[in-house]
Amino acid sequence: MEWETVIGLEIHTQLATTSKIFSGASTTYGAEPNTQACAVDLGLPGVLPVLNAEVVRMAAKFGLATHSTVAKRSVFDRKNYFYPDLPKGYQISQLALPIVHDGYLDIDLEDGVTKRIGITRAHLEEDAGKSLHESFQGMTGIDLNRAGTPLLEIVSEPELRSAREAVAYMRKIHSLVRYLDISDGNMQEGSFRCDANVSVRPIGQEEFGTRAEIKNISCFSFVEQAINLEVERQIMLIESGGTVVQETRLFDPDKHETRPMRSKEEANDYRYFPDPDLLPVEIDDDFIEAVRNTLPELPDTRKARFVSEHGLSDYDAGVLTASRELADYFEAVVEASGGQGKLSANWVMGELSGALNKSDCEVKDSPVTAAALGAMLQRIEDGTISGKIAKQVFEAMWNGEGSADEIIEQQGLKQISDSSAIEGIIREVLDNNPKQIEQYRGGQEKLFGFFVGQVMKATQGKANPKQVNELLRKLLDS
Amino acid sequence: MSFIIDCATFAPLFLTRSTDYGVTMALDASEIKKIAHLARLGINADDIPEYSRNLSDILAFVEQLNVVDTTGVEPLAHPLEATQRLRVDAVTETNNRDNFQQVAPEIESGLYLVPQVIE
Amino acid sequence: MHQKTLVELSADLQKGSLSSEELTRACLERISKYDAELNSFVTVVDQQALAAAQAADARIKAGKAGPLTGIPFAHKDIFCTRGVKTSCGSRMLDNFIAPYDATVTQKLLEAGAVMVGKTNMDEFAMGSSNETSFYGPVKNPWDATTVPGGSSGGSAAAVAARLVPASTGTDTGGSIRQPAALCGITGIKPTYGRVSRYGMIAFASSLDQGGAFTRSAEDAAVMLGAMAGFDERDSTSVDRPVDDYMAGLNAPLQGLKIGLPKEYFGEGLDAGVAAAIEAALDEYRKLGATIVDITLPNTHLSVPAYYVVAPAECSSNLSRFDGVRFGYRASEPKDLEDLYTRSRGEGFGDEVKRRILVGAYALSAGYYDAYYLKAQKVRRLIRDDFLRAFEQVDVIMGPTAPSVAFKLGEKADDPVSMYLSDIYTIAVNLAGLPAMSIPAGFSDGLPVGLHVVGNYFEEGRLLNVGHQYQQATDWHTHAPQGF
Repeated sequence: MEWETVIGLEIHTQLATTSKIFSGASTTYGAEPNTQACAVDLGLPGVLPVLNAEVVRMAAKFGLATHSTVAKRSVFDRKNYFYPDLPKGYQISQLALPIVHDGYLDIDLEDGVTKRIGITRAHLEEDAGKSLHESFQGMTGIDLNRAGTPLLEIVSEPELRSAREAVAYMRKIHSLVRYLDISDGNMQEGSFRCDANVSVRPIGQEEFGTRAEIKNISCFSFVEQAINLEVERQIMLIESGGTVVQETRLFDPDKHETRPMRSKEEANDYRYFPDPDLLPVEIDDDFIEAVRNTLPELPDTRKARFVSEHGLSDYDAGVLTASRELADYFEAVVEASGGQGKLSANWVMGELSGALNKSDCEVKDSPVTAAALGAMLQRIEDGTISGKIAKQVFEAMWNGEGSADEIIEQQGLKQISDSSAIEGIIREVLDNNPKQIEQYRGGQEKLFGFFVGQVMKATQGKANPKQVNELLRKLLDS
Repeated sequence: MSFIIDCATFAPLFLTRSTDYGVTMALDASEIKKIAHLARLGINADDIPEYSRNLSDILAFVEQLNVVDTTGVEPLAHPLEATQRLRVDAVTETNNRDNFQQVAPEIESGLYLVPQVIE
Repeated sequence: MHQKTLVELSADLQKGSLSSEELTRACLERISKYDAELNSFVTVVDQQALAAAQAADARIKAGKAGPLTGIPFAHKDIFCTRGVKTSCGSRMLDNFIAPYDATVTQKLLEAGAVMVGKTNMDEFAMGSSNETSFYGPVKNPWDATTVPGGSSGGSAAAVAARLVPASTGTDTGGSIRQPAALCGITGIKPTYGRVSRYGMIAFASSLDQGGAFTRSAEDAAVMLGAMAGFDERDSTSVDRPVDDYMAGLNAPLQGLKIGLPKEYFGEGLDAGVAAAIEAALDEYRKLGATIVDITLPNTHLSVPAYYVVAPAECSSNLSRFDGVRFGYRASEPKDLEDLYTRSRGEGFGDEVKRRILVGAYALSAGYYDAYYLKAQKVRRLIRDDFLRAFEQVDVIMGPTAPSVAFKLGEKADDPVSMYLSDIYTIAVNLAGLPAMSIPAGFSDGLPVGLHVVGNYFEEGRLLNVGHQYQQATDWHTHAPQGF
């Protein structure tokens, strides 16, 4: 039987606020255990939550960027369950009236097709603390620093049809929240993670199969692996006569499997009800318009502009707009280079990206600034250096040896463009290689490259390649 | 004169007991156990019949609510129906761990300890 | 000295004819003399109180005193007090030394009031007789075989027995007004949102409201004036200036329209109580008020609605007591589940457990709409009854409780019967209105309370209405025999 995969993602993204969603404690990552858990975060008797204005603004930003409805009225509910990292015995979340709902996001698939994925809702909630399982005499340690960190939970429609699509969607959301400056998207620190609801059904069948929820997957490659493993498991199970049960599962990358979560075995009854310590959040058109005015140019718009304004290919524009930092960098290079869009794209996607990858470095931390790279590209454009020499200049810049001009000057890399000088060198090369001239003139035209190489070698690559070509041809063919 | 308010004397204005109201609403032992588990509340097996009776009484009593027609009535979650005030995003709290952990039953290296959690 | 009101004592302190230290010592002495029998205090803080009294005396000398500076008060053990045990009447918090001050605590201490101790109460404020306390029942000073009412029973008994001139309370379904009535003192619960709930251990968040016990309406004006006010730490706190409650006390009542709900005078009301209330209404007529018959047709639904909403909120509010970060923890838990169920099972008393179970049930899947949502809809109907009534009248009056103080143990085994002793007070919490109880005579030798309900934020009018009555009558000056 042919099977179709159905996936819906719930992405949890921490919002990049200074303080927590309901308290004035810091959200900085990596502090000593429980030093950033204030009375409210600990759920001490008598404490009360007060909502952080910034999380409302950030959620609205996300809503506007995904063509969603930003709710004029939203309500916080309590989700009741017991777990040691959940101090109050309930999580403050939004169930019936989320702040954002009914939007969509277009994702680009590998075959060049664009697919629209519905966003059911995005709601605000508080993050839980962390359980540290390394043994304290057989006990678990609880750190509540993370408790109360604001989360936006983004729930997609079950419209993703493969692990690849799921990853493409997740990457797009990841890029978007960073564009919007509402999350640092740091997956190592758990700022961006997802739950995947996975089911399979025979192709052509309308109703969904029973789904399993894979919890807390924290990187893109794991999402793909976990979904593929789960799909395989479900198909094998059904084909061997079994049935899928609705349950929560955990992905274990070491054992390369998903398995049921022990702690979530029982069906939970969360007893949701509106949190009586909080009042309905009401926002008006002025608020929404003010947020709209702070929206940056969004990835899709920016991509289209890169194509039309800088003459880039669709593919290049897509790569350069995948992250806001890279796109910003690229545009700064274009400006510094005096408007060399295509050349800038080649360099940012080529040498720069390669160097960043090799040293595992983020574009924002690049030792070669956009201005410096742009200045170097100007030297290519005005003929001061060749593209080949430029690579040598770039490497020196990367190693902190100075600006392009300084390096060109110090290392004497300026291109030789004086025709008589080049002609002198060519004559010398020809004089030293009479045999090759004979062969060339006898029809072995590919030896032309040999002569170019000899000339470049003699000039340490500094001769203007265009002039070398012209003069060489003239002298050889005369 | 007696100070006792026998709830039956409130009838008919204040319907009170399941017997007054004619509703049989009973929670059996297994339901009591289920709810107790949901609330992580240890209760003695011996006390279950009494809980069962008390809870059934209370639920029968609140069944009176169903007499009134609330079609089209919005629930009232808060008396004043105000809206949420928003706090400026600023850090106002400093590390107060030592003070807070003085009342903690079991800690180590700044962590609260609980019996091993298995995921 | 102990028969003087707060306002009289305040005048003596300002004059210098009395020091706060003398006054505080006198209170502490009365507590040690009488409280072994009454059991109105869970904790007495002698040393801290005397130090605060000395500081207050210095402040008075420096001319920086307010009306509460140097006045001893008893604090309900539901308000967090930094460095002092805050038990909430529960074994669960028997070991809980609060690491922070409630906003109300902070405000009273800043006003210079001297906290002498923390008062006994029904466990987590769940009860109407003070019999659910882990620390044992409180006795009513008027008759030690009867209850003082609850949940703020200790605070009411302490003021009635003249151990302190004032105390704090909280009122979720009548927990200030009913004990005030049963103990023959003045008790006020302001509009929901008027007094900060921050640091006041939650029972039912949408109903809980702090307030005060005193022996007169005038004294209550001083206490409430210090306790009320906007608090940015409480989302449900109302950002609006506090009225000058003292300023309006002397306004004449000529033309005051008093609403009398016919529903409050049906069967089930003790005849002696009814007679006392009738007499009080006559007194108001003499003061120039007119009595208007009104109807609050959904009154009979208030107790059932309350016993869905309050347990539902409490079941969630009390989840934080899990033996992990504070409070009681069962010994040697064999696993996490055992830690939770035994800590909570052993830490909470019967009534608390009952309400948690009812609440968890009412919120559980399949029952939410039938119980919780339905109750919140009925709640609107109840509130709308009041709003309609206040289009016609200035205040609403009736009995605070259907009977005078009942015997200890009389209703302890019958929750529903106990719940009905709050039948007149509960609707006010559902609507969030301000209300007070003032002494209005006796029935069978025990005090009767007159319940006065005002429109939103009309605490000033309630105090004025109470004060004028207390100028014309002397019920509020009667002390229980031996006190």
